[in-house]
Amino acid sequence: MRTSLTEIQEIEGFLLKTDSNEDRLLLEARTCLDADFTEKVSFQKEAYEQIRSYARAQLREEIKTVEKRLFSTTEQAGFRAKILRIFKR
Amino acid sequence: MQSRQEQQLAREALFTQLYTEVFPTVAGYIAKKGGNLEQAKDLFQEALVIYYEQVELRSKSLEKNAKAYLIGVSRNLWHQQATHGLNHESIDNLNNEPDVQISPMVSTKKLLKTLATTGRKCMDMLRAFYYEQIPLDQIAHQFGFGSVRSATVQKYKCLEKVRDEVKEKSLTYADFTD
Repeated sequence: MRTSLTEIQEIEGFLLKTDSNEDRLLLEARTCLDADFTEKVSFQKEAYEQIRSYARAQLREEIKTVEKRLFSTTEQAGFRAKILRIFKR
Repeated sequence: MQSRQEQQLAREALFTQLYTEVFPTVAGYIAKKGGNLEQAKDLFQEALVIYYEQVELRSKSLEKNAKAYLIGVSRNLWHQQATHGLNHESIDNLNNEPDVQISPMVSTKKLLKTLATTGRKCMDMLRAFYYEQIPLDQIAHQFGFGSVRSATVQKYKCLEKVRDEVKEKSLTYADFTD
């Protein structure tokens, strides 16, 4: 694996707390001394956040597909009528 | 070992079951509180996302309590909406990793659009590993890699790509706002 990927792997261990205490201390020291490295850690944190946002957006699309089916197909007419009655009261 | 399509179908079956079993009760509650159908749908969608993350992905066994859990989450979301308004960011601020506290640096919507169009396979692979927590041997199989090692390397390449995008957009955004 090339050096930059190994570094990403090390930062991942640090951020997700899957590394050893020894590695953690080394990375903590590096974040104090190396501003570029600290920036990489910060952007990698944000990358995980973006992955989660992407995953949630995909999940919402899947839920919307289910919802659309429940509110539009003839097989689910009973369910749809039941819900509409609730909001007509 | 399930394929990605089988996993998606299983999720759809789960959401269909939960929707038909629980949504009428939630809808009744929202209607009683003066809400409309669209509000109930939006709210229930977020409740399902929370349920999926907190129960399904963590393999918690609720079984008979799934309905109670979803109703409770929906009620909390309704109260939250009444005081702060409900949007996707509300639950996006719920972090599963307490020690990874993040302040979004760039517009999530814009970045997601870029990522979704420029690296869909990468994003799907990262989603599978970091969000769905699918083991790498299964990911290697699902995404057509010859070995776990190849999948691991690709995972880090994809993560690097996302990190580079975050950096690029962050710098662009800083230039724009300065």
